[in-house]
Amino acid sequence: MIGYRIVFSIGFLMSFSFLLAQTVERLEIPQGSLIEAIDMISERSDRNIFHNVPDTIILTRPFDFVDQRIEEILEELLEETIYGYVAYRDYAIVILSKSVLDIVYSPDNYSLLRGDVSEKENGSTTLVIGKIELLQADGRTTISGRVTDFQSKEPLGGAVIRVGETGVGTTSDLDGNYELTLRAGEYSLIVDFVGYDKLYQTIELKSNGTLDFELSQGAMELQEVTIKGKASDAQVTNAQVVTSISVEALKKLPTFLGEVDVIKGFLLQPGVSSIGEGSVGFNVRGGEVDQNLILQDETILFNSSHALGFFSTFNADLIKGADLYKANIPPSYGGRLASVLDVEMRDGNFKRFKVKGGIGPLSSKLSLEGPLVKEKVSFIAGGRVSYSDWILKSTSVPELQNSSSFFYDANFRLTIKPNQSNTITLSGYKSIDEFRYNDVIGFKYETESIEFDYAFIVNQNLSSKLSVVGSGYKSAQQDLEGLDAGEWSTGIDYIKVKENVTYSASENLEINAGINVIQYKVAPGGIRPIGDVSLIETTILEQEKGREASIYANVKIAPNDAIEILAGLRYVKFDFLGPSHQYIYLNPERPETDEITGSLVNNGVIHGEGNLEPRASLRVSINDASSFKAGFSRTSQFINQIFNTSTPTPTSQWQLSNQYIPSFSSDSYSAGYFLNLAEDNWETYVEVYYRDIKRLFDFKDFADLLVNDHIETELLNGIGRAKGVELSIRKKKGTTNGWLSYTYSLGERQIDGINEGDWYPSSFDKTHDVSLLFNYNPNLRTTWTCNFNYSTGRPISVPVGNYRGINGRSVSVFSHRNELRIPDYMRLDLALTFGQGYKKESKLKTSWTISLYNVLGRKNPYSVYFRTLGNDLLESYKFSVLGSAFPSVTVNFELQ
Amino acid sequence: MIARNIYPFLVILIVGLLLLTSSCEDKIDFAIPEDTSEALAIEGRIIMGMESKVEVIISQVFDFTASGRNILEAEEIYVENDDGHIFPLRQVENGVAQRVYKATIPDNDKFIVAVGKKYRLHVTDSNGISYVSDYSLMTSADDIEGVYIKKVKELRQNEIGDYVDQERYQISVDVADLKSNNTSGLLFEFSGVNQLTDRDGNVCYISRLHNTQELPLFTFDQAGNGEKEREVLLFDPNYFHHEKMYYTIHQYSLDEAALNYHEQLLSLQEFTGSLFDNPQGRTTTNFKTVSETSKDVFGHFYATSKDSILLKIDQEFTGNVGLYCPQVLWGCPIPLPESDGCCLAECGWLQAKDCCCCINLVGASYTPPHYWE
Repeated sequence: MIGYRIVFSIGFLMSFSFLLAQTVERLEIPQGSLIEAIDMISERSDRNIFHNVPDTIILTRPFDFVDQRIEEILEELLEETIYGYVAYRDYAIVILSKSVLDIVYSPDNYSLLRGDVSEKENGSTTLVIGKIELLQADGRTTISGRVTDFQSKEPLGGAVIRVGETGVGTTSDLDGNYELTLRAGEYSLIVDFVGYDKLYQTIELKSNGTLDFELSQGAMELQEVTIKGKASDAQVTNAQVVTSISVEALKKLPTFLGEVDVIKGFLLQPGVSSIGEGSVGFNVRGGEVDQNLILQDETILFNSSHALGFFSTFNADLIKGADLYKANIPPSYGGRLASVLDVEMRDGNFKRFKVKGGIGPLSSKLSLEGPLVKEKVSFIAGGRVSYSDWILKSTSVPELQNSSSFFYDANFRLTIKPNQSNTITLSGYKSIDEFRYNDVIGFKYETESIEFDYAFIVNQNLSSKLSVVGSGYKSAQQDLEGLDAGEWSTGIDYIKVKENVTYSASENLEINAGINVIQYKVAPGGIRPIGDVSLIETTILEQEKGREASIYANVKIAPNDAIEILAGLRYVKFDFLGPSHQYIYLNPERPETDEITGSLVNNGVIHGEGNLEPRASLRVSINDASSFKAGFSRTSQFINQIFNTSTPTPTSQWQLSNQYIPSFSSDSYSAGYFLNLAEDNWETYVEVYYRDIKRLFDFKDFADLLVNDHIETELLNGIGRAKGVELSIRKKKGTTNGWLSYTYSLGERQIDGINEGDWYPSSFDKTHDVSLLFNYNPNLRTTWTCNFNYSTGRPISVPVGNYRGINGRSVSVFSHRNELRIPDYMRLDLALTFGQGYKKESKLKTSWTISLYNVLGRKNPYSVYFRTLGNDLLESYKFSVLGSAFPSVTVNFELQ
Repeated sequence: MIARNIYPFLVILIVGLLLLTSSCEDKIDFAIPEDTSEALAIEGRIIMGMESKVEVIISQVFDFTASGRNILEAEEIYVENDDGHIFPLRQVENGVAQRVYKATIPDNDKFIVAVGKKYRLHVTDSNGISYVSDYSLMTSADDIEGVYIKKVKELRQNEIGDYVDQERYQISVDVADLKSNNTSGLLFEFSGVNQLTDRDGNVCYISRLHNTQELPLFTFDQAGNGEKEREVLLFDPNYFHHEKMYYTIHQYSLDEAALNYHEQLLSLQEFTGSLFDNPQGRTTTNFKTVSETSKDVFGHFYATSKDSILLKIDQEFTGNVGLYCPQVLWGCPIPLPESDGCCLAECGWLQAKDCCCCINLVGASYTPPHYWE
């Protein structure tokens, strides 16, 4: 790779040296500003000279040039500086820092200096690849290489490499590797990746060879929100429907306390919603919050947020990108019904150290990265901490004065690249959350994880990745008052091993396959007293063990440009393992507390089930700008949360499937029309979906869910369905940009024994959901952002009356299950980001973000509760976490 | 320079953060379904005991929004056994927003009340809508063999929020064994008669129900099985225990459906509406409408065997002495009009209102019950 760069650079310079023939008769340059010296040369030259030299560069001595060529003058003048020059054809000379010059040269760098230098469609230099004597008999050649970010050297997966003349091309894989098979000849290659300057390169292909590309981020970086579909037209070209968000895009969103949030970014998408402030998790197409597989690389997270949903689990400074699969889930993922959120963490910088941080009124963050061995070993570490108690104590509301909120999280990643074929990564994560309200209720939860990855490129067609993860999640909720003061706790530990292999048979055929094994250990629940007066007795339920093993394969076929098919199969085997104490029931199909006939201790595999999960996606291109897509996914879920509250908390119990509690299973169908306009700057789509849930459970009325060693008697099995239509309109770039999305949906369940066997709304059914994001960038340094969300209130069961019974006893009457709805959710946010510099060479970069969250001051409900008054009256109350608009000012800095 | 530039932002920030202090709890109203207040609630039971009786309470659901409770009369109401014989009930009380229907079934009546037989209730309201319950099996339980009372200490929160040991009275019974007779559970209710001598020396005997919201229930697993002294009631000493009081502990046997219904009532009773509560729901009913018009109906009808036992609480147990009401020794400071030989007005700070004319208290009588010693 380095050799090619040197050859290229020398060849480039030499090939144009004959053009730089202009000679200056006499030129005296005094000691002083280098800029003035360049201006003097420019006056004597018939070529434009472009540079970004600051006015602080001073020549230490005068110069006297006689009968010398322009390039000789420049060489001598710049010798003792950090700058060099390069010629572009016969009409321009570009002065750049010497470190910048050591790249695969792109004409697009001109735009960093002058906007009037237009991009040329043909590369300025033809690269020769291979040797004619090595050409195969059939005349076919293969060119391969890697596409990376020029600055960070991070691989760019999904970059499009195509031949300008024919449109034939390929895309780079997740590690940035690509391969293109062509006949020997001359071609103009175009390398394209959204957010980066297009790269044009002419090649003369004589035999097999390698060619790497390093792309620079868009020089005239408009502060746009970019929802990257990898390539700019990915929305219409990729059969796999996936929503991706780059970290740059996230930073433009309105934030809560200046904190960037991956989850909140996806909440602006149609079909993705949350319950609101203070709640945890998110819902995808009406699915429950526990039906989303949340991955940080290969680590499964069971909680996606801190501080009851106000901050994301993911530190945005350490993220490389995030993908959300909500329609057709690739076979390489499994174990959850509704969606997969795959967040990829980035490696540390292999070339130089960087410090990055942010200081806000209630939270701060710091990250550090750099090389331990240049180009071979890097590290990146980051942490965040909150400190909100000072503001709570200073309020005038007693309930808040007696409250507390705290979290911290820390990430660490070590990456070792001994050579281009091998990458070893060791990463770790830890987080703790503690929340207490008015010394009445409290929540605690923590996550620890460690992950080892080994990626190996066998050859140009074959690559492998092995991942081993160990992780633990613990949570507890506390009732802090009175004689019932106690702490209910639950937890999950697991070990995961995954091996994934990718084989690119040709440019039209790619196969991905692998195996995945997860061993679970679940603590279903325990309770212990808190305080000196509590009458609670300590009770700990028996641990449960389970194993989920799957094997999968996926094929991507593109028989022609108009059609792309993804077809895959996943087989999963789940075993509930002993030793475990099991109750025996008169009717095992429907366990009842008063029908327990005995119990015994079982060992080995107590219950096992296997499910075959076909997955398929189809894309049919109507033209270059539009396509029709359809997809199907069958998914199963063997570990589910049981929510005993109207608002999911991070402490809700996780339960493994067993012989009495079935796994969840669903078939999802989707179809949509995708249209891009204005050269992919506008993306629109309409998509319909239907999910047929063949197996699920819900708690029955009057269920006893807390620390119950026969929880199966409190659950009833049934079926469900979810359907909806999603609309999205998005403008990706420009001074103004943003998107509008709308979802109409319906989610229902039918369970014999609940709601008299009639269909009833699922707990996360939201009929209407609207999101609007609007950005205005008056200049490079400033972004105004407006964000609006509205959604229908979610269903709830509440007391609606009472009657008198024998002896005058008052009996409450509840609504049908989920018959009523809490008040609708609505929120408007505004944000201003300014101070961002676009000079990539700056050592210290700072920016300020001022945001106003919940501008309307709407008290969106977090939970609903009731108070009994006299005369049998009952009053309903909502508790809102945010009772007003919430401003914040955050300063972010980056030092390199 | 920098400080000046950020100063206005800091002001906005601090003021804004303090805005966070606005209240986060607000009353909300739910759109109660319109037909909620039209639903009927029927609770009733046929009791086999010293005398066989039927008692039924009919009321309408109160939906928290009406200005008052509505009431529907029963045009026709009768109980039917599995022989097809019926026994009509008559209205005996017009309570507030409820109607009470009762009947006493003589032993020699052709309408047989016996363990093992089944019974159901028929109700037709004034709108012509008919309701009928499922058949309920008459179960039985062993008679209560013993009843006990003792003083216990319980940790409770006092008026100023401190947790202190407070004295309470605990009543226990020998709970019957439920292994036979298809009985799934036992329900306990309590009534009592206390003696009160008012300030004029009149001795009244006041009948009252005790803690109508409490539902001591025992299921098959919890029942005695030979074990003795299971707690059924825990209460605070009160002024009506001062002189003497007789508690009557009533034991009712429950079939499976009746037990399930009462367990749901117990759950509703314990519902506090907080995040930590178990989920609630609609009580199951064994009534259904039989008319063409279908309507929501709540409540339950069941057949039960009853046994009762008396418990005396006297001053030997309570440790009280004398009378609760101070006797008039000096008369009222201000002459007050008299009526029926009683002083109706309070004598200011001297004594509780009950101490004036005890006969005017609900359930009061000058005649003690037959068991009074």
